[in-house]
Amino acid sequence: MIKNQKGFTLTELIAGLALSTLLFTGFTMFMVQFVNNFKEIKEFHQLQTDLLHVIESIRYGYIDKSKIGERSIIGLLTAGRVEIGIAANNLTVYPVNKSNKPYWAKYYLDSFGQVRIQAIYDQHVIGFNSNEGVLFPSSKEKIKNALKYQVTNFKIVDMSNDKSLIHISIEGMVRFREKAKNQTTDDDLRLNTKRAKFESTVFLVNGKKDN
Amino acid sequence: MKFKHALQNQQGSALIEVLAAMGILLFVITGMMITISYARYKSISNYRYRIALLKAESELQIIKKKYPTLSFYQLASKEFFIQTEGNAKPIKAMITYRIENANDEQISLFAQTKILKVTVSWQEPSPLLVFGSNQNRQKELTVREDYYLNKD
Repeated sequence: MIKNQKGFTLTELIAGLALSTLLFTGFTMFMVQFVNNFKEIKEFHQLQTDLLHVIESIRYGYIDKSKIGERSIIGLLTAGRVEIGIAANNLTVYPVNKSNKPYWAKYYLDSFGQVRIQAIYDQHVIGFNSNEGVLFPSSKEKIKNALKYQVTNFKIVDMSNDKSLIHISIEGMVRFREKAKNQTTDDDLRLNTKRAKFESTVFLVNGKKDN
Repeated sequence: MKFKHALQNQQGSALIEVLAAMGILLFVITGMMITISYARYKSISNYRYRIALLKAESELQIIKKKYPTLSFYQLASKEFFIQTEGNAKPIKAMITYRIENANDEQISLFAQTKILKVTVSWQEPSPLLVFGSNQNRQKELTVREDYYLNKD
């Protein structure tokens, strides 16, 4: 019925299959690596954005629309005075406040590597509930029970001895994947994580106007 | 009938066809590698830009604290290092300052306007695996602050 059938020999078939498998495996591995690389770049970018968000919030103030609408909780640029915690990883900002209404904002690093804000603005209370007031990270994703994005170092330093020139230093880390069993700690940090660090200095121009 | 013809005289693929297929595959893979390399380069480059921007803004703040009336003749340029990671090679950056007097007719009777400009410049390292790496890798950003000083 079908004339001139030539087909392939068993050897040709085995060789062909082996080569195809090799090619397909190689290409699949390359594609997986390609997607992972892009994911790492995206997550590193997210880490930078989140760290900058913390710095900008501390500098200019924090807005929680659900609580106080478009008004912002005080930041350093308009602060009357500041208090720096003993461990230098928290900062309480007070405005130039001529009224007797309570108003302050505390920016601090918690034990999970999150930067949070607690604030009292008139009768509004922000950040006293564990679900709110998280400045960093924007994602709650976890890897092996630890946050994927963490702040590893958060330091507030008074550069002027009169708390009018405040230096903020923040270092964060993103973990791309879990530590493999045969990896050393150094290898784990080098291959599975990436860090970013930002620093900024702010002058409390209203400092002298404090009452 | 068609099926019958399709199985007649099978001679496999010619060498040229195999080479063409391999060439296309290689082209696609090379393109993807260049893309990832360029994205990584841009990501680090963007990170350096943000570090430089924060540094420039910080310099404005420090000067505002030290010299509230900009009462200095000239500030010396200085350098700092942008280091993206602990084991990365630090990149030398230069900070320069410039003060300009602005002439604003509306307010010149009452106040003197001075503009302080802080410029941070640095050289980006050449990217790997990216064609056209002879593009201008000298980066520079300037931030400014305007001072209105009372004439009294």
